[in-house]
Amino acid sequence: MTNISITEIVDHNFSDLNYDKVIILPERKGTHVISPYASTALSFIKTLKKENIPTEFLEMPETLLEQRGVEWIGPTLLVFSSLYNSNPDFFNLLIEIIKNHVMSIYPSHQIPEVKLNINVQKTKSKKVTNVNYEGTVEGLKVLAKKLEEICDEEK
Amino acid sequence: MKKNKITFEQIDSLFVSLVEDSISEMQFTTAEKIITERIKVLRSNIDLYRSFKFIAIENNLEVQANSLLHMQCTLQSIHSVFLTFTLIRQNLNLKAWISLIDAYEYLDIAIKVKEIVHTHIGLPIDDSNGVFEIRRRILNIEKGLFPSHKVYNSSALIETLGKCSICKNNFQDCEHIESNIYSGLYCQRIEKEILDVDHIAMVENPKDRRCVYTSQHNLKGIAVDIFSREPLEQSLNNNEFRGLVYYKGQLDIN
Repeated sequence: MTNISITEIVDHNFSDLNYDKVIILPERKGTHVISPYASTALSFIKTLKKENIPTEFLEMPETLLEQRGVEWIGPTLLVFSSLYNSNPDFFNLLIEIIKNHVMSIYPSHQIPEVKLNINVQKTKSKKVTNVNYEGTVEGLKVLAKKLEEICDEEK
Repeated sequence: MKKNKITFEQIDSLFVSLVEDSISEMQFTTAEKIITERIKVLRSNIDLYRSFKFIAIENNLEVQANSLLHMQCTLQSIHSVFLTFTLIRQNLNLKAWISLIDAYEYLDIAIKVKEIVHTHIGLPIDDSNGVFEIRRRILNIEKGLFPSHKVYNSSALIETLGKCSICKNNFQDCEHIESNIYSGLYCQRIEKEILDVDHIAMVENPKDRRCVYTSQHNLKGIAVDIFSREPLEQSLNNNEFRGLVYYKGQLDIN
Protein backbone atom coordinates (compact mmCIF):
# COMPACT_ATOMS: atom_id res chain seq x y z
CA MET A 1 0.00 0.00 0.00
CA THR A 2 1.31 3.43 -0.92
CA ASN A 3 0.95 6.26 1.55
CA ILE A 4 1.98 9.85 0.82
CA SER A 5 1.50 12.61 3.38
CA ILE A 6 2.28 16.27 2.83
CA THR A 7 3.06 18.88 5.49
CA GLU A 8 4.10 22.52 5.22
CA ILE A 9 7.19 23.23 7.32
CA VAL A 10 6.83 26.71 8.80
CA ASP A 11 9.88 26.86 11.04
CA HIS A 12 12.97 26.12 8.94
CA ASN A 13 16.37 27.64 8.28
CA PHE A 14 17.05 26.33 4.79
CA SER A 15 16.69 29.71 3.05
CA ASP A 16 20.43 30.37 2.82
CA LEU A 17 21.30 27.04 1.24
CA ASN A 18 22.53 26.33 -2.29
CA TYR A 19 19.82 26.10 -4.95
CA ASP A 20 21.68 23.81 -7.30
CA LYS A 21 22.12 20.76 -5.13
CA VAL A 22 20.24 18.05 -3.32
CA ILE A 23 21.01 18.38 0.39
CA ILE A 24 20.96 15.35 2.67
CA LEU A 25 19.65 16.34 6.09
CA PRO A 26 20.39 14.71 9.44
CA GLU A 27 17.66 12.83 11.32
CA ARG A 28 16.40 13.52 14.85
CA LYS A 29 17.81 17.04 14.85
CA GLY A 30 18.23 18.42 18.33
CA THR A 31 17.93 15.15 20.25
CA HIS A 32 21.63 14.35 20.17
CA VAL A 33 24.78 16.44 20.55
CA ILE A 34 25.76 15.45 17.01
CA SER A 35 22.73 14.89 14.76
CA PRO A 36 22.94 11.47 13.13
CA TYR A 37 22.17 10.79 9.49
CA ALA A 38 20.12 7.82 8.29
CA SER A 39 22.40 4.77 8.04
CA THR A 40 21.51 4.53 4.34
CA ALA A 41 22.84 8.06 3.68
CA LEU A 42 26.50 7.18 3.02
CA SER A 43 25.78 4.65 0.29
CA PHE A 44 22.95 6.71 -1.16
CA ILE A 45 25.05 9.86 -1.64
CA LYS A 46 27.63 7.73 -3.51
CA THR A 47 24.90 6.57 -5.90
CA LEU A 48 23.55 10.10 -6.44
CA LYS A 49 27.03 11.45 -7.19
CA LYS A 50 27.77 8.53 -9.53
CA GLU A 51 24.57 9.44 -11.40
CA ASN A 52 25.73 13.07 -11.61
CA ILE A 53 23.11 14.44 -9.23
CA PRO A 54 24.84 17.25 -7.34
CA THR A 55 24.44 16.32 -3.69
CA GLU A 56 25.91 17.37 -0.35
CA PHE A 57 25.41 16.62 3.28
CA LEU A 58 24.12 19.59 5.30
CA GLU A 59 27.19 19.06 7.47
CA MET A 60 29.71 16.20 7.39
CA PRO A 61 28.20 13.16 9.11
CA GLU A 62 29.83 11.86 12.26
CA THR A 63 27.17 9.43 13.40
CA LEU A 64 24.42 7.36 11.81
CA LEU A 65 20.97 6.28 12.96
CA GLU A 66 20.66 2.58 12.17
CA GLN A 67 17.00 1.55 12.18
CA ARG A 68 16.48 -2.19 12.25
CA GLY A 69 13.14 -2.36 10.43
CA VAL A 70 12.70 -4.46 7.31
CA GLU A 71 12.02 -1.37 5.13
CA TRP A 72 14.63 0.66 3.30
CA ILE A 73 14.59 3.95 5.19
CA GLY A 74 16.17 6.59 3.02
CA PRO A 75 17.91 9.72 4.24
CA THR A 76 15.85 12.91 4.52
CA LEU A 77 16.41 15.04 1.45
CA LEU A 78 16.05 18.76 0.79
CA VAL A 79 15.40 19.49 -2.88
CA PHE A 80 15.09 22.96 -4.38
CA SER A 81 12.40 23.56 -6.98
CA SER A 82 15.03 25.29 -9.16
CA LEU A 83 16.44 21.84 -9.96
CA TYR A 84 13.06 20.86 -11.40
CA ASN A 85 12.55 24.23 -13.12
CA SER A 86 15.82 23.83 -15.00
CA ASN A 87 15.19 20.12 -15.73
CA PRO A 88 11.51 19.08 -15.85
CA ASP A 89 12.58 15.43 -15.76
CA PHE A 90 14.51 15.90 -12.51
CA PHE A 91 12.08 14.16 -10.15
CA ASN A 92 11.55 11.21 -12.50
CA LEU A 93 15.31 10.84 -12.70
CA LEU A 94 15.74 11.11 -8.91
CA ILE A 95 13.02 8.53 -8.27
CA GLU A 96 14.47 6.15 -10.87
CA ILE A 97 17.87 6.42 -9.15
CA ILE A 98 16.28 5.70 -5.74
CA LYS A 99 14.43 2.71 -7.19
CA ASN A 100 17.55 1.26 -8.84
CA HIS A 101 19.61 1.91 -5.71
CA VAL A 102 17.17 -0.03 -3.51
CA MET A 103 16.87 -2.85 -6.07
CA SER A 104 20.65 -3.18 -6.26
CA ILE A 105 20.87 -3.78 -2.51
CA TYR A 106 18.42 -6.66 -2.12
CA PRO A 107 17.85 -9.98 -3.92
CA SER A 108 14.74 -9.85 -6.12
CA HIS A 109 12.54 -11.91 -3.76
CA GLN A 110 13.21 -9.47 -0.93
CA ILE A 111 12.77 -5.96 -2.34
CA PRO A 112 11.45 -4.09 0.71
CA GLU A 113 9.06 -1.19 1.07
CA VAL A 114 10.60 2.25 1.04
CA LYS A 115 10.27 5.06 3.58
CA LEU A 116 11.36 8.48 2.41
CA ASN A 117 11.14 12.09 3.53
CA ILE A 118 11.70 14.68 0.85
CA ASN A 119 11.54 18.38 1.67
CA VAL A 120 10.89 20.64 -1.32
CA GLN A 121 11.82 24.29 -1.07
CA LYS A 122 10.19 26.58 -3.59
CA THR A 123 12.73 28.96 -5.01
CA LYS A 124 10.65 32.16 -5.00
CA SER A 125 8.55 31.88 -1.86
CA LYS A 126 11.14 29.87 0.14
CA LYS A 127 8.23 27.78 1.41
CA VAL A 128 9.23 24.25 2.38
CA THR A 129 6.89 21.28 1.94
CA ASN A 130 7.65 17.90 3.48
CA VAL A 131 6.54 14.88 1.49
CA ASN A 132 6.58 11.60 3.38
CA TYR A 133 6.40 8.41 1.31
CA GLU A 134 5.82 4.87 2.50
CA GLY A 135 5.25 2.19 -0.10
CA THR A 136 6.70 -0.06 -2.75
CA VAL A 137 9.51 0.81 -5.17
CA GLU A 138 6.98 0.54 -8.01
CA GLY A 139 4.79 3.16 -6.29
CA LEU A 140 7.62 5.70 -6.26
CA LYS A 141 6.50 7.13 -9.62
CA VAL A 142 3.45 8.54 -7.80
CA LEU A 143 5.87 10.35 -5.51
CA ALA A 144 7.64 11.92 -8.50
CA LYS A 145 4.30 13.22 -9.76
CA LYS A 146 3.45 14.66 -6.34
CA LEU A 147 6.81 16.45 -6.10
CA GLU A 148 6.26 17.95 -9.55
CA GLU A 149 2.79 19.18 -8.53
CA ILE A 150 4.24 20.92 -5.48
CA CYS A 151 6.81 22.75 -7.60
CA ASP A 152 4.21 23.59 -10.29
CA GLU A 153 2.10 25.46 -7.72
CA GLU A 154 4.61 28.31 -7.92
CA LYS A 155 4.53 28.62 -11.72
CA MET B 1 56.82 -31.31 -8.84
CA LYS B 2 53.92 -31.31 -11.29
CA LYS B 3 50.85 -29.33 -10.20
CA ASN B 4 47.39 -30.55 -11.19
CA LYS B 5 45.17 -27.84 -12.60
CA ILE B 6 41.44 -27.72 -11.94
CA THR B 7 39.08 -25.99 -14.36
CA PHE B 8 36.16 -23.77 -13.39
CA GLU B 9 33.76 -26.37 -14.84
CA GLN B 10 35.28 -29.03 -12.56
CA ILE B 11 34.93 -26.72 -9.54
CA ASP B 12 31.28 -26.11 -10.47
CA SER B 13 30.64 -29.83 -10.87
CA LEU B 14 32.22 -30.60 -7.46
CA PHE B 15 30.06 -27.86 -5.92
CA VAL B 16 26.84 -29.35 -7.34
CA SER B 17 27.78 -32.82 -6.01
CA LEU B 18 28.63 -31.43 -2.58
CA VAL B 19 25.33 -29.52 -2.37
CA GLU B 20 23.32 -32.58 -3.46
CA ASP B 21 25.11 -34.81 -0.91
CA SER B 22 24.61 -32.26 1.85
CA ILE B 23 20.94 -31.64 1.06
CA SER B 24 20.22 -35.39 1.18
CA GLU B 25 21.44 -35.37 4.82
CA MET B 26 19.84 -32.03 5.76
CA GLN B 27 17.20 -33.38 8.13
CA PHE B 28 16.98 -33.26 11.92
CA THR B 29 16.85 -37.05 12.32
CA THR B 30 20.26 -37.50 10.70
CA ALA B 31 22.71 -39.11 13.15
CA GLU B 32 24.88 -36.70 15.14
CA LYS B 33 28.01 -38.48 13.86
CA ILE B 34 26.99 -37.74 10.25
CA ILE B 35 26.05 -34.14 11.07
CA THR B 36 29.42 -33.55 12.77
CA GLU B 37 31.25 -34.99 9.76
CA ARG B 38 29.11 -32.92 7.35
CA ILE B 39 29.92 -29.74 9.28
CA LYS B 40 33.65 -30.53 8.97
CA VAL B 41 33.41 -31.24 5.24
CA LEU B 42 31.41 -28.06 4.60
CA ARG B 43 33.76 -25.94 6.73
CA SER B 44 36.82 -27.06 4.78
CA ASN B 45 35.03 -26.59 1.45
CA ILE B 46 33.91 -23.07 2.39
CA ASP B 47 37.59 -22.19 2.91
CA LEU B 48 38.50 -23.93 -0.36
CA TYR B 49 35.85 -22.09 -2.42
CA ARG B 50 36.83 -18.83 -0.76
CA SER B 51 40.44 -19.40 -1.85
CA PHE B 52 39.29 -20.26 -5.41
CA LYS B 53 37.35 -16.97 -5.37
CA PHE B 54 40.45 -14.97 -4.42
CA ILE B 55 42.40 -16.60 -7.27
CA ALA B 56 39.61 -15.50 -9.66
CA ILE B 57 39.70 -11.97 -8.17
CA GLU B 58 43.50 -11.79 -8.59
CA ASN B 59 43.08 -12.78 -12.24
CA ASN B 60 40.30 -10.20 -12.85
CA LEU B 61 37.79 -12.93 -13.70
CA GLU B 62 34.67 -11.13 -12.45
CA VAL B 63 32.01 -13.63 -13.53
CA GLN B 64 33.95 -16.56 -12.05
CA ALA B 65 34.64 -14.58 -8.86
CA ASN B 66 30.91 -13.87 -8.49
CA SER B 67 30.03 -17.51 -9.23
CA LEU B 68 32.51 -18.64 -6.58
CA LEU B 69 31.01 -16.17 -4.08
CA HIS B 70 27.63 -17.74 -4.87
CA MET B 71 29.05 -21.21 -4.21
CA GLN B 72 30.78 -20.09 -1.00
CA CYS B 73 27.60 -18.45 0.39
CA THR B 74 25.44 -21.45 -0.56
CA LEU B 75 27.82 -23.77 1.33
CA GLN B 76 27.86 -21.33 4.28
CA SER B 77 24.05 -21.40 4.31
CA ILE B 78 23.91 -25.21 4.35
CA HIS B 79 26.69 -25.31 6.98
CA SER B 80 24.60 -22.97 9.17
CA VAL B 81 21.62 -25.35 8.91
CA PHE B 82 23.72 -28.33 10.08
CA LEU B 83 25.09 -26.16 12.88
CA THR B 84 21.49 -25.37 13.86
CA PHE B 85 20.76 -29.09 14.22
CA THR B 86 23.75 -29.73 16.43
CA LEU B 87 23.12 -26.63 18.59
CA ILE B 88 19.53 -27.73 19.27
CA ARG B 89 20.84 -31.11 20.42
CA GLN B 90 23.13 -29.28 22.85
CA ASN B 91 20.12 -27.31 24.17
CA LEU B 92 21.64 -24.08 22.82
CA ASN B 93 18.36 -23.02 21.28
CA LEU B 94 18.93 -19.29 20.88
CA LYS B 95 22.30 -19.96 19.21
CA ALA B 96 20.53 -22.50 16.99
CA TRP B 97 17.94 -19.86 16.01
CA ILE B 98 20.71 -17.35 15.24
CA SER B 99 22.43 -19.97 13.09
CA LEU B 100 19.19 -20.60 11.17
CA ILE B 101 18.86 -16.88 10.40
CA ASP B 102 22.53 -16.94 9.28
CA ALA B 103 21.47 -19.72 6.87
CA TYR B 104 18.76 -17.50 5.36
CA GLU B 105 21.07 -14.50 5.07
CA TYR B 106 23.95 -16.40 3.46
CA LEU B 107 21.48 -17.89 1.01
CA ASP B 108 19.95 -14.48 0.21
CA ILE B 109 23.43 -13.25 -0.75
CA ALA B 110 23.96 -16.43 -2.79
CA ILE B 111 20.65 -15.72 -4.60
CA LYS B 112 21.60 -12.08 -5.20
CA VAL B 113 24.98 -13.08 -6.71
CA LYS B 114 23.32 -15.79 -8.79
CA GLU B 115 20.94 -13.16 -10.19
CA ILE B 116 23.90 -10.93 -11.10
CA VAL B 117 25.72 -13.82 -12.82
CA HIS B 118 22.59 -14.88 -14.70
CA THR B 119 21.79 -11.30 -15.75
CA HIS B 120 25.36 -11.12 -17.10
CA ILE B 121 24.84 -14.23 -19.24
CA GLY B 122 21.31 -13.12 -20.23
CA LEU B 123 19.41 -15.93 -18.50
CA PRO B 124 17.33 -14.68 -15.56
CA ILE B 125 16.73 -17.24 -12.80
CA ASP B 126 13.26 -18.26 -11.67
CA ASP B 127 11.65 -19.95 -8.66
CA SER B 128 12.61 -23.42 -9.92
CA ASN B 129 16.32 -22.73 -9.44
CA GLY B 130 18.08 -24.87 -6.82
CA VAL B 131 18.82 -21.91 -4.52
CA PHE B 132 15.09 -21.30 -4.05
CA GLU B 133 14.59 -25.02 -3.31
CA ILE B 134 17.22 -24.76 -0.55
CA ARG B 135 15.37 -21.68 0.78
CA ARG B 136 12.08 -23.59 0.88
CA ARG B 137 13.79 -26.40 2.82
CA ILE B 138 15.19 -23.93 5.37
CA LEU B 139 11.70 -22.46 5.77
CA ASN B 140 10.31 -25.96 6.43
CA ILE B 141 13.05 -26.62 8.99
CA GLU B 142 12.17 -23.33 10.72
CA LYS B 143 8.49 -24.24 10.85
CA GLY B 144 9.20 -27.78 12.06
CA LEU B 145 11.83 -27.09 14.69
CA PHE B 146 11.14 -23.70 16.19
CA PRO B 147 8.19 -21.94 17.83
CA SER B 148 6.66 -19.18 15.72
CA HIS B 149 7.63 -15.66 16.69
CA LYS B 150 4.86 -13.15 16.11
CA VAL B 151 6.81 -10.11 17.24
CA TYR B 152 10.48 -9.24 17.36
CA ASN B 153 12.67 -6.53 18.84
CA SER B 154 13.80 -3.80 16.53
CA SER B 155 16.31 -1.33 17.89
CA ALA B 156 17.39 2.00 16.44
CA LEU B 157 21.00 2.73 17.28
CA ILE B 158 23.30 5.68 17.00
CA GLU B 159 26.61 4.43 15.64
CA THR B 160 29.87 5.53 14.07
CA LEU B 161 30.26 5.50 10.28
CA GLY B 162 32.52 2.42 10.18
CA LYS B 163 34.84 1.15 7.48
CA CYS B 164 34.35 -0.54 4.13
CA SER B 165 34.80 -4.32 4.16
CA ILE B 166 36.22 -4.23 0.62
CA CYS B 167 38.83 -1.46 0.63
CA LYS B 168 39.10 -1.01 4.45
CA ASN B 169 38.86 2.79 4.05
CA ASN B 170 36.52 4.93 6.12
CA PHE B 171 33.10 4.18 4.65
CA GLN B 172 32.40 7.79 3.65
CA ASP B 173 35.69 8.00 1.73
CA CYS B 174 35.28 5.16 -0.76
CA GLU B 175 32.92 4.48 -3.67
CA HIS B 176 31.58 1.11 -2.52
CA ILE B 177 27.88 0.75 -1.79
CA GLU B 178 26.67 -1.30 1.15
CA SER B 179 25.25 -4.74 0.19
CA ASN B 180 26.48 -4.48 -3.41
CA ILE B 181 28.75 -7.10 -4.95
CA TYR B 182 32.13 -6.15 -6.41
CA SER B 183 33.80 -8.96 -8.31
CA GLY B 184 33.23 -11.70 -5.75
CA LEU B 185 33.28 -9.39 -2.72
CA TYR B 186 30.25 -8.32 -0.70
CA CYS B 187 30.29 -4.77 0.66
CA GLN B 188 29.54 -4.38 4.37
CA ARG B 189 30.01 -1.46 6.72
CA ILE B 190 32.32 -2.93 9.35
CA GLU B 191 33.97 -1.80 12.59
CA LYS B 192 30.90 0.26 13.56
CA GLU B 193 30.82 1.39 17.17
CA ILE B 194 27.47 1.72 18.91
CA LEU B 195 27.26 5.04 20.74
CA ASP B 196 23.69 5.09 21.97
CA VAL B 197 20.31 3.39 21.74
CA ASP B 198 17.70 5.70 20.19
CA HIS B 199 14.71 3.44 20.83
CA ILE B 200 13.60 -0.18 20.86
CA ALA B 201 10.35 -1.16 19.17
CA MET B 202 8.24 -4.31 19.05
CA VAL B 203 7.67 -5.12 15.36
CA GLU B 204 6.22 -7.90 13.21
CA ASN B 205 8.76 -7.49 10.39
CA PRO B 206 12.23 -6.74 11.71
CA LYS B 207 15.41 -6.36 9.71
CA ASP B 208 17.06 -8.93 11.98
CA ARG B 209 14.87 -11.91 12.91
CA ARG B 210 17.56 -13.04 15.37
CA CYS B 211 16.13 -10.48 17.80
CA VAL B 212 13.38 -12.60 19.38
CA TYR B 213 11.70 -12.63 22.77
CA THR B 214 13.20 -15.60 24.61
CA SER B 215 10.64 -15.77 27.43
CA GLN B 216 6.90 -16.25 27.51
CA HIS B 217 4.34 -16.78 30.26
CA ASN B 218 2.69 -20.19 30.06
CA LEU B 219 -1.01 -20.81 30.76
CA LYS B 220 -0.27 -20.95 34.51
CA GLY B 221 1.39 -17.53 34.30
CA ILE B 222 4.89 -18.91 34.88
CA ALA B 223 7.72 -17.36 32.86
CA VAL B 224 9.27 -20.06 30.69
CA ASP B 225 12.00 -20.23 28.06
CA ILE B 226 10.25 -19.81 24.68
CA PHE B 227 12.26 -22.63 23.11
CA SER B 228 12.60 -25.27 25.86
CA ARG B 229 9.40 -24.37 27.81
CA GLU B 230 11.41 -24.79 31.02
CA PRO B 231 10.62 -22.29 33.81
CA LEU B 232 13.22 -19.53 34.03
CA GLU B 233 15.56 -19.62 37.00
CA GLN B 234 14.50 -16.08 37.87
CA SER B 235 10.73 -15.50 37.73
CA LEU B 236 9.32 -12.55 35.78
CA ASN B 237 6.24 -10.39 36.34
CA ASN B 238 3.43 -10.65 33.77
CA ASN B 239 4.63 -7.51 32.00
CA GLU B 240 8.30 -8.53 31.94
CA PHE B 241 10.00 -10.37 29.09
CA ARG B 242 13.46 -11.46 28.10
CA GLY B 243 14.79 -11.15 24.61
CA LEU B 244 17.62 -10.29 22.29
CA VAL B 245 17.46 -6.60 21.35
CA TYR B 246 20.52 -6.43 19.14
CA TYR B 247 22.87 -8.94 17.53
CA LYS B 248 26.34 -7.57 16.91
CA GLY B 249 27.70 -10.44 14.84
CA GLN B 250 28.17 -10.10 11.07
CA LEU B 251 28.23 -12.72 8.35
CA ASP B 252 31.70 -13.98 7.47
CA ILE B 253 31.71 -13.44 3.71
CA ASN B 254 34.85 -11.85 2.25
